[in-house]
Amino acid sequence: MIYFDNAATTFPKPTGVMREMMRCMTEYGGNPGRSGHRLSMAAAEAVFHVRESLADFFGIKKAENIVFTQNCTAALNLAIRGIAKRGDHFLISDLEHNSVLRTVAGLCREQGMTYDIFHALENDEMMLAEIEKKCRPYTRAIIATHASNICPRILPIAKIGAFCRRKKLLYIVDAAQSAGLYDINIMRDGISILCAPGHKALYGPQGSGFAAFADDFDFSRFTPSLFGGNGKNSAELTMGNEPPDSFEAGTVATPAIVGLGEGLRFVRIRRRERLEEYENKLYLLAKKRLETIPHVRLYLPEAEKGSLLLLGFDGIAPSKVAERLAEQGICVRAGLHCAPLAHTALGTGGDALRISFSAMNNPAEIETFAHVLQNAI
Amino acid sequence: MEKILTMTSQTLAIKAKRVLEQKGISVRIVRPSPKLTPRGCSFGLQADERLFSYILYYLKEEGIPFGEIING
Repeated sequence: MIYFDNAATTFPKPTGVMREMMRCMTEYGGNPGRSGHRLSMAAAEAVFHVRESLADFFGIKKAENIVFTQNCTAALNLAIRGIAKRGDHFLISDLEHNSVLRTVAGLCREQGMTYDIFHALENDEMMLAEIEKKCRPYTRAIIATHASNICPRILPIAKIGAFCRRKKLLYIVDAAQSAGLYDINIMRDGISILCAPGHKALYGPQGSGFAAFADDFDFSRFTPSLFGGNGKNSAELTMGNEPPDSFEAGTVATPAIVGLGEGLRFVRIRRRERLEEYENKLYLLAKKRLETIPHVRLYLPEAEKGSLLLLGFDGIAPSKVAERLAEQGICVRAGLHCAPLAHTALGTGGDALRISFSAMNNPAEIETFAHVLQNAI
Repeated sequence: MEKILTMTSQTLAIKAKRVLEQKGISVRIVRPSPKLTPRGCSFGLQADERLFSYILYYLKEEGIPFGEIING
């Protein structure tokens, strides 16, 4: 089997991830934040350790500013709904996943906010000029992906962050495809809230994700979107607004969180910079090889940096090609990839085939893939 | 005699405990009775009452929010 669907979730996971999750469920699986007994405290200590590691990795000092969620979508919902106030205006890119687009569009529909879309496929300067042009006096935030989930476009987060700082805007980054792979430093890059999954380039299990808030983030106007028990101030009717507990209603997924901690450890041991370099090598190799196959079209072929490729074909639907590849044991993803805006921006016609890499792939798999693809189209 | 400093969450209690341990102060994280804490369930740091001036000083220095001192 060849697994080239790592943008959906990385597979396989490092063995340490499974080992720690099993250890958690057999040795210290109490409910963190609920009780004072040994198992609950051990679980809480383990969860806190992962908060500390993530905070350190993403350039913040306050471990409590890491709020765990079940995935990146939940983190984005928490972030976007948490900052939104009636009358706000948002700017989003045309590469957004539905986790941003639907959340923003839903808020605007239900609560009277507004949003505009900027073109992210332009070069950085043109894109920043358009952002500036579309900013309004009541624009509250720029909400944008870091790395597209369908094409090799990486947005300049430090430049957007600097713009947001200058304009006193909040900056929410969807790091679904970049957290663990590309260099992100929340304080350096001017990010207000970084939203990420644990199960992609951080190599954790599905069911893990988080929102990481800047050290100077003002929580006083931030509202929770999930309500329930959190083990504190139980006599009160409100959740409060103290991170992380006020935004983590219900039991957190301790086994998934400690698995994420091990995934992050894997990234740190292998070194993020080297993983980025390695995946870029795979990307360039695949691009070069696929360009030689007749009837294959690459979207954004000029990009020199990436970890995924989007393909179209002459005379056959990408979804059909994906089906044929699956029959040959090759895992890829076709369709709209939950990113209809991005498909429109790229002009795919609503169907394309994505291949995406992880540290677990190798160059030989690319050659095999190219050979099988040639026969499938 | 031991006293308890209430903390707004277990997360902050763990953070505080680690900071204090680095300063050579040993505390225990406990779950005080909700009857002792007007806002309901909470966590706290339990230690000898003679240590509390140092505990409060270091927590303030680190910017870690805390509640009130109650009897253990």
